[in-house]
Amino acid sequence: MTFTYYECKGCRAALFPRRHLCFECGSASFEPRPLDRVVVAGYTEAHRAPADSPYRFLVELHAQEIDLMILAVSDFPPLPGELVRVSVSSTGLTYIER
Amino acid sequence: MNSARIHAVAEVPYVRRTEAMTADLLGEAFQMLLAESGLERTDIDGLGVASFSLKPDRCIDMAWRLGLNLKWSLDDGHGGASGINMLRHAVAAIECGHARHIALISGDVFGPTDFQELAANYNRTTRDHLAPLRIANPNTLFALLTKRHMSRYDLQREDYGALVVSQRIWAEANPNAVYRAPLSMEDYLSAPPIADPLSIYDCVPVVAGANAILVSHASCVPAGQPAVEILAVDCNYNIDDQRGDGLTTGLKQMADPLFSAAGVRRSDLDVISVYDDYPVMTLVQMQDMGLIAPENTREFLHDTLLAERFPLNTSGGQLSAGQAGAAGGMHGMTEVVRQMLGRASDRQLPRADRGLVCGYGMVEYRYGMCANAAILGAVR
Repeated sequence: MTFTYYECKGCRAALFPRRHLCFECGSASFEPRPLDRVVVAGYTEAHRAPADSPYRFLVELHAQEIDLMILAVSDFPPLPGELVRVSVSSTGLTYIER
Repeated sequence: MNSARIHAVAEVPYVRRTEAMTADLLGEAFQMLLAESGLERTDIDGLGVASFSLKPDRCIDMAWRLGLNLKWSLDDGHGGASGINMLRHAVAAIECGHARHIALISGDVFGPTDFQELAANYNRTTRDHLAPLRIANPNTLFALLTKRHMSRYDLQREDYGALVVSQRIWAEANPNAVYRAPLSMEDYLSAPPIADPLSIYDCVPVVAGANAILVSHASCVPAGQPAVEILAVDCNYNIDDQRGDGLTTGLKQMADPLFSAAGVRRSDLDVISVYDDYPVMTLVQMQDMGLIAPENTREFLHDTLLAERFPLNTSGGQLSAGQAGAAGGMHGMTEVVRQMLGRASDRQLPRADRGLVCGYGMVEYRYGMCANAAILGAVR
């Protein structure tokens, strides 16, 4: 599934997770927007990750055009600065792919 | 200057496991507080409680369990910032005449699955957006933050290790600390990894326990008892909507006005407790309060903190003493007040007239969004 963020209709600020009011302008109106390509800002390896999951890396991602930081998981150690695709699984898991 | 005074503190010794329930430990802390203060149960007309595991009970249920008739009651949900948050409300209540003697208590007991449940349901954002990732928890989030801090200030693991080792030296003299064995830098650097760059000694041990302080009107403090006055206290929450880098807290904006309001210079401080859920956050708060020049962070850690035994987190902090849930938000305050009342036994500082306590907590999506601080003064 496509990752969805929220754009404030008042000031165009990009938000995730969704809020009730925009921190910048106070607007209560948001438009859902798809997000596809993001830049890896950093990652950490979780050494006690669940054994039944292939995802051992928590990744911080920066959508540069809209200046939004989000979190996702990865089954490979990404390169900081690398451009990756972000998606959401049917169980709500946000993950990245090359 | 306000008319509120702290004149008693209590800590139910931290333990890894217990059969007791949270209400039992909170009740025990309250009784210890009464014993130390010399007051009667019926003198207490205000109660504030911070706890994650007390549910479904709340402050008023604790009041019933303790047989208290209250004029003032407060439930706090600010985690690592709860102690100072409750203190600030208590000072206002004392000033307004809403209460004369307010007991503030905090604590938790977590069973084997309780802590995981708390971590997965900390708030709606955690439940909906972090828990599904399965590895997004405080350890991994603060690992990311530590990496950013290391990069910005050119620090290495052994620099954070200096803080951990320093606090362990203090903990050796704290019988309530769960980690008391000496810890060398070699031990720290070779410890099992949790989430790069954090190892087991960068993460607080989860314990059961409770802390409490008694805040009274100055005119109601029993004659001859030492006390602590609250020279200044301030809070700053959700400063950046979680859209920053987490390397700045609300303390940065409040630091200069806080010292000014207290009439205290940074160099006047004799004892400091800074919330230490992770070493990096202790350093961030120290930087924000203007107690470390960011460019001198490494020198401070090795030359001042470790070599000169700078009086920071003299209980051993949560990193060595343990984190008893919401009691972590009062642990540092308990220690500073204990030092200022001259009751710190083997780790008592020769001089403890001016103290600083900082709180931090409540991770929303990427880092904590609550910070607060209090400057305290001894009344001899």
